[in-house]
Amino acid sequence: MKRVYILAVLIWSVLSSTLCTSVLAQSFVTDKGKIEFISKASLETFTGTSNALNGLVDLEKRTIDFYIDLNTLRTGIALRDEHMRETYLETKKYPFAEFTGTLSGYNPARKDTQNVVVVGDFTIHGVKKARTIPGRLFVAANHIYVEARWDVKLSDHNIAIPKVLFLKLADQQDVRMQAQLRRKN
Amino acid sequence: MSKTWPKIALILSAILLPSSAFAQLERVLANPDRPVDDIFKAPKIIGLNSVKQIGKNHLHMSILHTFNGSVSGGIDTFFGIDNGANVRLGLDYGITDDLSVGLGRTSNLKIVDTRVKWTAINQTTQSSPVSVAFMGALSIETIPNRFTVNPQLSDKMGYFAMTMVARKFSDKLSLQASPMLAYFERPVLLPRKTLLGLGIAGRYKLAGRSAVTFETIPILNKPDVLSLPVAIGYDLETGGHVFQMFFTTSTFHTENYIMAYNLDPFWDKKPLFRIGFNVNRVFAL
Repeated sequence: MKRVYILAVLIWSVLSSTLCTSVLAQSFVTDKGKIEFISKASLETFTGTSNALNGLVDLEKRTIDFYIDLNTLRTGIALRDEHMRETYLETKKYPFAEFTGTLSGYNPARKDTQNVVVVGDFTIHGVKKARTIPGRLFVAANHIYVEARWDVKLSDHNIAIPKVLFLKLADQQDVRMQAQLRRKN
Repeated sequence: MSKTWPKIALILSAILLPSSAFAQLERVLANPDRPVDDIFKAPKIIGLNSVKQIGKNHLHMSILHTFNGSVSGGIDTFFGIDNGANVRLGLDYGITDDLSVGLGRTSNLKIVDTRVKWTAINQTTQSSPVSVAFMGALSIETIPNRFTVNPQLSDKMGYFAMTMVARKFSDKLSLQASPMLAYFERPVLLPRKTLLGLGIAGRYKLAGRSAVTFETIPILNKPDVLSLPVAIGYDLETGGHVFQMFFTTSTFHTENYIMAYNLDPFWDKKPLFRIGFNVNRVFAL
């Protein structure tokens, strides 16, 4: 009896993995996506960037999953980066920002850049917010290109800006992402 | 019955896992063994250099003041503030993230000093428990008439070497030990040319942006004329600035002169320390 169970499990594992590979033909990944945020306060405007955005888009299941290690963000001033990690984003406790959701408005027949909408959860600083984010999608032979732009209010995610700093750090951050994802086999 | 449950669980997981495993990416840190941030907020703890570097292509400007009079002057000297200040203006530049050079000018004795600081080891989140840095400095007292006989340039020189070993023990507490050697070609106050010190310093964070600091430099071959240098301070960071306010026994801001000109103790029946403050500002070039 024991052998039968083990055999069943084995057969299922093999079956399901082959099934998955056929499904995976529609899924695309990257770990080199670009993300950028722009902080526009009255005294200071600065940009933070990272080229280590990880993403998974599954056009069959219509799901997307993106995350970034916030430690990879750079604003051009080492001390500001350190303050950003230590005091605002608290990357030791909350190393990732993530957005996971479902894709709508995608038309597989279209060969040009199309507008899509993703409904999902955006999490940063450990605080999850339901968001609907419009983006653009282009599907090529073995790659897809995605870009999106949205605002993140720091106060929505429990990131407090000290009063002495409100002239230098904006509460509303303009976030942009751009990524080329390759077909996963 | 109890024997079949694990098997059912196994089969169920085999059915469910392959389909759900690909729905989300596994969260992986880009660099799990990254350098530890913010061991100290500024390149100087108070007067003592910390393992903190300037950063590649960054220019660090520092304005360090300590009032010459001790607070024991009371309201008559406004707690020492009326007696002028010993000011060191400093510029430091980061050649790489681990190597910086600096130039400073101190008003008392009109000292010009240059320094090189190199970080050999950075404390990291996994592999390295401490940061280790080395510093070498050269100073020239440019005050006229310091010596009775016509002094040569070499008579005005001082040399300094220090090793800094620091560790951030927790989000709040960082400590540093710094064995150091100062050599003066022709010291005025001192009966000897060489001073050996062991700098000990610490930082304890209060809230996200402020911290209390302390430092002391016990002199291992201390002449009787000198007292133990001690300072306690308060750091406040605001974006690109770090402000430091402190109580200190010495009016100087470089380790060799902190040791060599420290005449008053911190407290002797009444407070004898001085009030000082530093302003640090970083520019990205």
